[in-house]
Amino acid sequence: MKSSIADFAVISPRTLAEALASLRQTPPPVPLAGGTDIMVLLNAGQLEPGVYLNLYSVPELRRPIEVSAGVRDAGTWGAGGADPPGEVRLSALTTYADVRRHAEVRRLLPMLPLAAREIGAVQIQSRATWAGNIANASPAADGVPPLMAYDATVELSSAAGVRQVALSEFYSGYKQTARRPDELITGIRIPVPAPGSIDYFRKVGTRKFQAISKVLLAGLVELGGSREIRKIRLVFASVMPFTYRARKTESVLEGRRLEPGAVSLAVETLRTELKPIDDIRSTARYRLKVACNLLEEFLGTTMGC
Amino acid sequence: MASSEYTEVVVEGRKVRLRAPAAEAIPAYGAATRVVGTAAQRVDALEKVTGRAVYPSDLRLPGMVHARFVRSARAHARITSMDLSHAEKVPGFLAAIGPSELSEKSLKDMLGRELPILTEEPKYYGEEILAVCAETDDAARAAAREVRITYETLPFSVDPEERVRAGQFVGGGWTPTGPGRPAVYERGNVQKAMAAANRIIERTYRTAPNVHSSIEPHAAVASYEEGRWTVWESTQGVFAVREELAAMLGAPLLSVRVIGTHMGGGFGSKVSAGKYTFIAAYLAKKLGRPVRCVQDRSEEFVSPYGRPPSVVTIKAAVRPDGKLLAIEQKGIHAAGPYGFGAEWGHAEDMAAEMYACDNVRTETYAALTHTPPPCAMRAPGHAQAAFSLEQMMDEIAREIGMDPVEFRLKNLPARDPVSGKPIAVPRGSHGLAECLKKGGELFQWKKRRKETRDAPPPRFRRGVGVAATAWSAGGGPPASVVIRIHADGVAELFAGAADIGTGTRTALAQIASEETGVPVDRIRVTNADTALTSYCLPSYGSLTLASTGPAVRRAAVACRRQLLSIASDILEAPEKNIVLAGGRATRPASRKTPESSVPIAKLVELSASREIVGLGEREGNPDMSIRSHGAQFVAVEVDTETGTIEVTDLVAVNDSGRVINPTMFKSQQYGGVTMGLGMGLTEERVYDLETGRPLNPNLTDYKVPTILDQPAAFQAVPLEVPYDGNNLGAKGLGEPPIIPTAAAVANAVYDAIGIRLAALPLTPKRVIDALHPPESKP
Amino acid sequence: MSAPAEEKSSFVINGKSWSGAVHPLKRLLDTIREDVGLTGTKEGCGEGECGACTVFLDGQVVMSCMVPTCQAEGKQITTIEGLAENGRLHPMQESFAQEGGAQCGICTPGMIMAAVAYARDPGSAEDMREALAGNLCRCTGYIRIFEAVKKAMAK
Repeated sequence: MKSSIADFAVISPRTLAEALASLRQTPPPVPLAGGTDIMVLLNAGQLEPGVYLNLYSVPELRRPIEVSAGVRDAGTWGAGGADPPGEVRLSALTTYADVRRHAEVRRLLPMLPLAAREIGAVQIQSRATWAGNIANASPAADGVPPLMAYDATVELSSAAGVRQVALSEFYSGYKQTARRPDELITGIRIPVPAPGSIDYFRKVGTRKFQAISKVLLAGLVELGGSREIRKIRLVFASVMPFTYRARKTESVLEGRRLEPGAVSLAVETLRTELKPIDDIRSTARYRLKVACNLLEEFLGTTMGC
Repeated sequence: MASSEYTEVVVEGRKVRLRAPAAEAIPAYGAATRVVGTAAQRVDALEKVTGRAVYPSDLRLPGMVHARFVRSARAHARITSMDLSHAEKVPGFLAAIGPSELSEKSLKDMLGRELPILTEEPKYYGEEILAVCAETDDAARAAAREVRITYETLPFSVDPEERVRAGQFVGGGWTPTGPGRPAVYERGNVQKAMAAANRIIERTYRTAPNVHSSIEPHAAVASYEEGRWTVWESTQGVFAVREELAAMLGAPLLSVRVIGTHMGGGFGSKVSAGKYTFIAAYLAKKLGRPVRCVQDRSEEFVSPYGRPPSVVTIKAAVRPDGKLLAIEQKGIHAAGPYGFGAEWGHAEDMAAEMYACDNVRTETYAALTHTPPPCAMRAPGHAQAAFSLEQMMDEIAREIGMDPVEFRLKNLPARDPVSGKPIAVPRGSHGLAECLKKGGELFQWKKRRKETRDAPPPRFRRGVGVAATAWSAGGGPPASVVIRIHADGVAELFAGAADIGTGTRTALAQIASEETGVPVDRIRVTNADTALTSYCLPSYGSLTLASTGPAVRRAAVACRRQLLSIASDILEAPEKNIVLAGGRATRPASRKTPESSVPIAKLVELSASREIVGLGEREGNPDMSIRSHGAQFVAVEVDTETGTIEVTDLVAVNDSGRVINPTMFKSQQYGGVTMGLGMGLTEERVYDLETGRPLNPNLTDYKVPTILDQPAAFQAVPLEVPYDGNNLGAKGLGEPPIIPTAAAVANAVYDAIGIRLAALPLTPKRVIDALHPPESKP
Repeated sequence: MSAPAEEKSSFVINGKSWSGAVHPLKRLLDTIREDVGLTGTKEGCGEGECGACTVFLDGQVVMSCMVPTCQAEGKQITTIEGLAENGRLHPMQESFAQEGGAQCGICTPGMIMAAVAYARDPGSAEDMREALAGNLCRCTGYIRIFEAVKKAMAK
């Protein structure tokens, strides 16, 4: 049964400073962004009664998506006249719809619109935010794996200041995150991958689109001139209790030439690295099998490129 | 055609055969119809597209208050205490009703089995314990949440097979047997036939519990004034609700008026009065204020239950030339703790009646599980039974090297195998044969079957499958209809039938228009209101159009005769020369005289009665087995790496006799098949075996198909095999389209991967497990 | 338990200003149906899965069961009742009526709102099916809905 609405209060701050100050109260108010999780929980009677912090009232949290050019002397991105990659910054209230509509983001970070398409109906894409998806810490979050594969960092602000945490360091267990109760996710910074990087995004759900995933893989690989793997990111959703970056499998692949032997080695490594969950949406056995198949598909198609 | 159908009733212990009302025959439609058979726009389309159509859940009456249930948080328990003190403190709290207050009250199923409205010993998770009422819905929910209940937990089981092993079952189907005895149907001698046969196959199939998932939840609003109730109910049958509610309230039948003009989907779940109906009516009297009782989506998953799960073991013997020799079936289905609603889980009919087979034995066990009582859900029993029977037919055909279509054609019955009555097949054609042939042609069955056979198995494997259905869908009495044509040329049509979204209102208006000449948009349909319309069965069992439609035609013909009589005098022409159409009576031009016409409004104005009234009653049916038929052909693509199944092509052919409105007919096909795809691929209510709690009482994890899940090529084809058993020539269509879908998909999956998936839904996990059996390395 | 902490809320709905005392977390769906009194917007699930409660919020297509009323403050809301202009049906409504896009009709208002949103901004989804995939219909099998939208967009 639904909780009575009388048990809830809402603070609508006008400025970020006000919002951050309110977070120092005990207990701190719970940030409310697009409401796509919180309002469902409220209606189901599963929302903790208390004070909620309405982020929509803070204009600073609604800044448009910023795309900055890379720095010329970044060196590591190789020679040649190619444009150096830059950075994309999403703000706290950037929605999935905002990203899908942004032509430059679509070009620079193609996995983001693919994830946007998966998270839910267009009506939900209008409301749901990337920062909310990160903060909510669902193991099945569709938006988090591509961000993590792109090496995104989370900008956490509090009255004491701002700190940056790598998204891949953000989760430590089921619903366990690096965000302190007095902090707010005010931005997400995503470095644009090196030119020629190859990405892979695939979700297997109950239904085509708009179903919570059974297995999701977001992958990104940067190959060197002799097909050696310079850098690879393998991020899974719905397989482990939190969004999981398969570092062991990544490290087996990095520095190796991409060839059939490397693929089977990677799949074998992943098979032992993952300890999948069992839940209503599928079984551990299915998840392991399909996660390995998706990795094989990613590496296989990359080899063919 | 003679009306010769009898109903058997028992009068003081004596069996009496009642004849259907005798009625003058009305000739069948001629070669061309003007309105019937056209894609007329729905008469209520404008209300629906503008949001003006008011559904019971929309109703807001002055002073209206809100009721909510407190439901059991145990699968089986005795309540040791109920503390209402916190609930009573919720601002706006008005009243609470407990089980002791209603100990005499119960719902009854079609066979008279009872279900308590509120209980002190809940026997399934979510069973209603208390009802609370408050000024606002929010306060009612909060008060319900604040009721503190302590339980003494009792043993339970949600597993039907386990319950049957423990002897906890009754007979399923329409012939109740009492505890501990299955329902048995038998003809011929199965044992002997099996012993003599050299080809026998056997397999066990499982179907999952499904939920109707109508988009409008169950809803009732009741008001009570001066000894009379008015109830607005989202229902398939206002008269059934009136009868049941009056009995529960212990009130005279006419003290209850039920209105159900618009309702947001039922699919079998809104045939009877619900606990919510009773609570709204009871509280309306008690508090003297209108009461609204609407369920949450999560409650839709426990009350009512939906299609219960089944386990069917089917065994068949066949001659090498393809003649079915014997079928033996043992079916188990969940029936909830009370046996209430066990008739809706039956799975025996289809195996017994679908094909010609001299030796058949079915045993049906309705397991007394700690799950909610079963409820009719689109093609109850048949949709489950088809999954086993139609896969078995596929398996046998492959076994003897015969095309599955040929195999079915070879075993079509000429008479109903159960009743022995002839199957209504005028002019020597068989509806099912026609459907199989037409569907095969459109799908290019023979060609595609060969293609998939010859293709090498890549990652994506393709396959094709077919399955068929028959469903008794003749409709019949009772239905009586009044048409009144007024002096402004507008006609009113009064019919008791609910329009549950199928387009009943529109089809009835088309039938009336055809005879009277009053255009469809000048016909106002008043339906599903016990105070304004005549008695009618609920809109279930695919009987609505075939029951009420012929009564409308009869009423319209009665009006037509009166109109023609007046027109004949005015236009100075014999009645047979006058055409009623487009709101006018017209005498076409002849060699001697030019065309002349008069508005229908004028005819009414000039009539002695100043209003033309026609009454029509549904005649009886011929003494035959009346069936609607259907066949479905599907192509699938199976991703062997993720286990996902995509239905790429689907052809559904249905014979339900005359088509009144092709758009609405096809929509019924598309909608039924889509629900069948949900049943086949994604829909399953899951229980926690440790607690008996439903794990997915929401549309987030109970996945019904979206527009994206539709096959890329999806064809619905009406096949009008002539039928003359009623004056329309129409049979029912609501249920048939869902029946064969899951089996057709499973047959196609077998064709694709060579493994028979015997459990629904056909999830990616089941495909992967089938391709890589659990003993092997994942 | 305290009385609901209602606050003054104002927005423009179907071109008309509205203000009233509403709890800031009250679902916009409930505010529209109960306080404004427009019941064309339906509740099918309350969990963002069925789309029956679809409305426009400052031109964005949203599920009103997921929007707290405080986030509609000062905004423009359009519901099914606001689509017709000067008594003329919106072409999408006309097309749904003509093509048989409505059966029982309970999903129809939300479905039409989603379809109008797509027609206004076809870039918001890969294709029409995706734009309508957040709206469940249990009656039609979606085929007539698809045809209705296609026809309206061709106009």
